[in-house]
Amino acid sequence: MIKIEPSILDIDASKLNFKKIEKYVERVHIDVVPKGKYTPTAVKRIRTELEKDVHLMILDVEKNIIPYKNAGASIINFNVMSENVIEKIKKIRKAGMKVGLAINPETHVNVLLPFIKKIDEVLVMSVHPGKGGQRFINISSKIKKIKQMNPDVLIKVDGGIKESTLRKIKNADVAIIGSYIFNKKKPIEVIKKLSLKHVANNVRKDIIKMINKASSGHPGGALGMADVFTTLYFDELKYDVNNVKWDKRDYLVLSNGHICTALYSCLARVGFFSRSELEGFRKTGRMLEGHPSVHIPGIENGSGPLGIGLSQAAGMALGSSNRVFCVVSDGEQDEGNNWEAVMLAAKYKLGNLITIMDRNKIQLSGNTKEVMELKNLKKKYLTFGWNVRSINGNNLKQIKKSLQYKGKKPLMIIANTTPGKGVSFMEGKYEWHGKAPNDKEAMKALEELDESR
Amino acid sequence: MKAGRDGFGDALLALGKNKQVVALTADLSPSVRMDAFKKKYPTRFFDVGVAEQNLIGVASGLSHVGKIPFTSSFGAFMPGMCYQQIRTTVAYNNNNVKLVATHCGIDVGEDGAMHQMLEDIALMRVLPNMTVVVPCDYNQAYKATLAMAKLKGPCYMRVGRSKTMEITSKRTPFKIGRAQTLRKGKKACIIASGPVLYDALKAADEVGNVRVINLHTIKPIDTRTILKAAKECKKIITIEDHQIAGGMGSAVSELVSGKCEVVRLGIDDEFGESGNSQELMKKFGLTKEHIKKAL
Repeated sequence: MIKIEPSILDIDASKLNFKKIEKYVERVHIDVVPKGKYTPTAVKRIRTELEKDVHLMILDVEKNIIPYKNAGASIINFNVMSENVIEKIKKIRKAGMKVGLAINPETHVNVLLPFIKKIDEVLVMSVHPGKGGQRFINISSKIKKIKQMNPDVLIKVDGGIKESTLRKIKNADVAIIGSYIFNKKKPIEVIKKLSLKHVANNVRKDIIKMINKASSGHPGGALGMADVFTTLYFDELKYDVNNVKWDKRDYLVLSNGHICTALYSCLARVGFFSRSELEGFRKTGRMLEGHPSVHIPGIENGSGPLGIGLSQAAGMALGSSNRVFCVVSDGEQDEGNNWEAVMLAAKYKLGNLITIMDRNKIQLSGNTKEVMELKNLKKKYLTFGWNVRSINGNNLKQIKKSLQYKGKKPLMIIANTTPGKGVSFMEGKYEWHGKAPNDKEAMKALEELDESR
Repeated sequence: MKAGRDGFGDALLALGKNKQVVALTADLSPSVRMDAFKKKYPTRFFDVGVAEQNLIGVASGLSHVGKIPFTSSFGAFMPGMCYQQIRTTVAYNNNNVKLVATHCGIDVGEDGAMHQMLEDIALMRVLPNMTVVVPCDYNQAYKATLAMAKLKGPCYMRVGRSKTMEITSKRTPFKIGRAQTLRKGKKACIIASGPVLYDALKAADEVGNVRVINLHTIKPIDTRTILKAAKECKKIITIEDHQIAGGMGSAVSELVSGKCEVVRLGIDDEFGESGNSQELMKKFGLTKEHIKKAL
């Protein structure tokens, strides 16, 4: 999975809301061209938590290393065809930054060979450097060759990349994108759309880390629902992190509270509370409890005992015209309380109630088919007077599409998910419903997630 | 004579003027006296059918979006069928839900043991954040309902089924948490909750020099008044239409703990049975004769 790195070559950085961009990506690309606007002073003025990845397309690289270091650069890139490459690499390292070598479209990859083990990143240009808005030159064969030279080096591609060209460079680690993002009316929306998969992957990493650190928790369902929660919090729900009780907000009721790590990760990453709270999961005296409680900003209901959430969501939908989203699990369809709420929602025509079921076919002690077979859930909900949509719960586009709803009946979205999604040894296994990965298992899981990035 | 549940129903109707007040029941509207509210404010009345767990969840959801839900059913069904939901969605979430259980106690009569809820005070008073009120007559049930609407947070009120004697008047003050001393005395002290207060007063008047306290609020309990009685009286007798284990008598015993003798009158660790309400009271030891004997 390729990460997106927005490039601010042609635009005015002072007009950008970096706080919003920080939700989706980790780095920003800054091109320094002769007589260009990104002098060290200008770069210093950019206040952001994003890593500054600076490409010095100027003659005097060495004189500019310290000034850009002081401006906050983490990585300095310069062209492999420069003079004194080794000297420059040494100086950049001495200044405490990472080194990237840029290679033009017409330059052969072998030029990198003398330096490939000495650098951190390779910047593969897919246009002729210096000006935005050029057409993409296909350099995908270079990526494979560079990986063979040094599998540890990070490969980033810059130049004329659009969403459709990402496929062509899928083996690269980072795609640097400028005009495709910033020529649009809503650049942050474009960044979001391109990065959502990566965000969901970050959520998965949070889940593994939280549960491993706490030595207890429920990874299976949480990993399976990471895509749904990512879509909800980054791409659908209406809320205000600065006014948590905003009366016009969409409500989200989590009924199967044990998968709360997925929710906590999203709440932290969109800004309801600090990300530093995540490592305190389940710890004495810390905010994030093993199951959600109402003193956590962004949580609407305490949950844990199954079958109760839909009732509460129905009550909210009954008393308010706001949208109410409810997440339930397939296991808790065993509880009678759930069906009482189903009947009530149909009776009172709760069209503002949108429920998403984590249909992962497992529960604590086994597969749902063996413990308590649920048979045809779609038919059941239809007969009870709901509208039903059935989707792949691990497909971001399908999730987003299914949430677009206006109707007089309550909606059930049966999200078919793989429990433990993203971690090969957890996928599909009910044993991982409530088992915490030990340090070795967690490390293996994070490696897999990092590779899929 | 009027029933406690009528006091609730009439007060609920009066509260209907407040647009945030909503009423919910589980197919028991006539019995819990919600019909008048239902007729006058149909868009603010909800019937969930015979589904008490859902009743609680929905009430919690409604309170979360700013409504003041009054939720009513028989004690045997609420908290009987839905304790977890009350514990999690009302008490733990600290939601502003008002639970009114009617048909509590042996007083239920002919319907028999299964419908005679004798354990509800015990169940409800151990929940954090819960206020527990047991009014003694129609007037007090009316005032308690109004008081609950004003209070922020989870509230539980229990009433019986029968029409009972009028003990307080429309002018008798009522404040949640403040016990009422209705008779002075030092020989002994009877603490009563609910309509059995009537028999307590009768017994005290016949014996003389016996203090009588109407402990309408079990939680938060009026520590001062009870400890004063423990200090000044030779013994305390508690009486309630409820198990003697865990109810008001136990709450008083916990508080008094060794400072003075406490005799708990009520249902002694058994279930009820079918029969005429008054006759059952006699059979299970809830009359003035039993109180006099304990004195």
